[in-house]
Amino acid sequence: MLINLGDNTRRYGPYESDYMDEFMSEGAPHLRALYARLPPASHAVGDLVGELAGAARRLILGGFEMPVPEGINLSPTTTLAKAYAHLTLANPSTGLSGYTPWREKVRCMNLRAPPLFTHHVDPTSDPPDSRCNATQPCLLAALGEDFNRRVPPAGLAWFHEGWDETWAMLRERVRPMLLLAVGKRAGAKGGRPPSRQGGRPPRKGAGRPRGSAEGGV
Amino acid sequence: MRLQHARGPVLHVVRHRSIRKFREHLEKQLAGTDARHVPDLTVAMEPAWHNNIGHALYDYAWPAFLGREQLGINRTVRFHTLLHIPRRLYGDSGPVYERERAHERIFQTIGGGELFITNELARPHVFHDVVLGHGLVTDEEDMNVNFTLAGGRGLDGARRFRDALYTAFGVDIPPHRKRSDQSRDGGVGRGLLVENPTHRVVHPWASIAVARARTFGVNLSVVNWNAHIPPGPDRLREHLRILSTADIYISGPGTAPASCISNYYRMVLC
Repeated sequence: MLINLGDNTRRYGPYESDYMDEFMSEGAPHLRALYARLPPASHAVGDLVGELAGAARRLILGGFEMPVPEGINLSPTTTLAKAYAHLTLANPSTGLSGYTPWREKVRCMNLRAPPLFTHHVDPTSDPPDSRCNATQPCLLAALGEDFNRRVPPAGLAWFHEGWDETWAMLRERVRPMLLLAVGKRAGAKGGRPPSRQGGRPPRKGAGRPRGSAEGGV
Repeated sequence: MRLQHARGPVLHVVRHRSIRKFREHLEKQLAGTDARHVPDLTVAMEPAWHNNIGHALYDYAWPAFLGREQLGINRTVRFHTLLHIPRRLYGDSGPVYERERAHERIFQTIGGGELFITNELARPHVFHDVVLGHGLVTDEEDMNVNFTLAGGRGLDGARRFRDALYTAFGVDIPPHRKRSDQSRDGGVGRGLLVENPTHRVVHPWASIAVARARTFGVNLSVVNWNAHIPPGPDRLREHLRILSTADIYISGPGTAPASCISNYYRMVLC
């Protein structure tokens, strides 16, 4: 069982990932990976990490099968990037060829996605390619909302535009929010379900309950 | 034909009409030299950032291993390691160089045979069977649409590489499980919390995490992979021994500075 705590020393945007090298976890189906977004270093972080260890133990003893399913060892952020890439790059009738190289394509998406690469290759160090299609921020936001709605515990939002404010709030709260990936796929291929009118993005900032560490597993 | 590389010529390719013609050519080339013949299997690689053990293992040893697996070569066969290092990125002395050399001994331990470094070969060498050209098999150019480590799923490569590492370093291989709760009579006892500047596992929160984990039945140890033992095979052996006893691995991203390995070690976890 792997728990990737990400980088809590700087602020990342809602669609950025700071976990790095996720393809390694995803390529190791005899392991199970979890991802946590932590507030900046504090006593509360210690409690949260201890709880994560307990959650991992319960998952192991609960018994999951190996090899683990495809996609389950990616973080929500990279799961979303993958869904976005498939939706924007694939031919709708044939899907995306398994031999499509990703590097150039993902750079074209203008996602800041260092985990898609080994760390000495940072797509942000290269200028965006003007021949690429423009990014589709609306699609990205819709996928994020889908993920937030589908992945319990309800009310915990991995993706939302208010992350900056949340970050500021996290610095001050005694019992910060814990966001834990549970490996659900964002925006599964084959079309989105009808949009729910009431599915507003979560309210920014305070009042969000801290979820159980197992989430929807 | 000569293949060029950014760092200089890599190899020469010469066409021959037959094996016999090739042998004749070889004999002519080697006549009067004290060429050494290296029978058996040799695996070639071109390391560059291998002063970091994470990169050494997963940017170079892994593709070399996988290249051999893809060819169906019996994995129990020992092999020699041929390193092509035309220029060392960090020079020919100093702590980074020392780590590079230490990790080259790790490559050698994995193969179990001899170690050859191209620019240190004083006389011609004739390698009889060479696996090379796996280059980018795990690199960013190879990223596939499912976003997995090449061969990790299809060949069960990640676990096979892990097993090969444990075997090479004489550490018992963790059990292969089909379910996570299989053969867990002793429960799930041990977790590792890795010190890594990227996520600031420093006091006081590391000790709080350890105390909190204990209430959930997890014996969490804070580890610093850079401590105590100098880089090299002995250090990796000790790390594998620690990893083989752990069920839960908690770390930040990346490899972290210096020879710290952090995230990459998760791959050799049971």
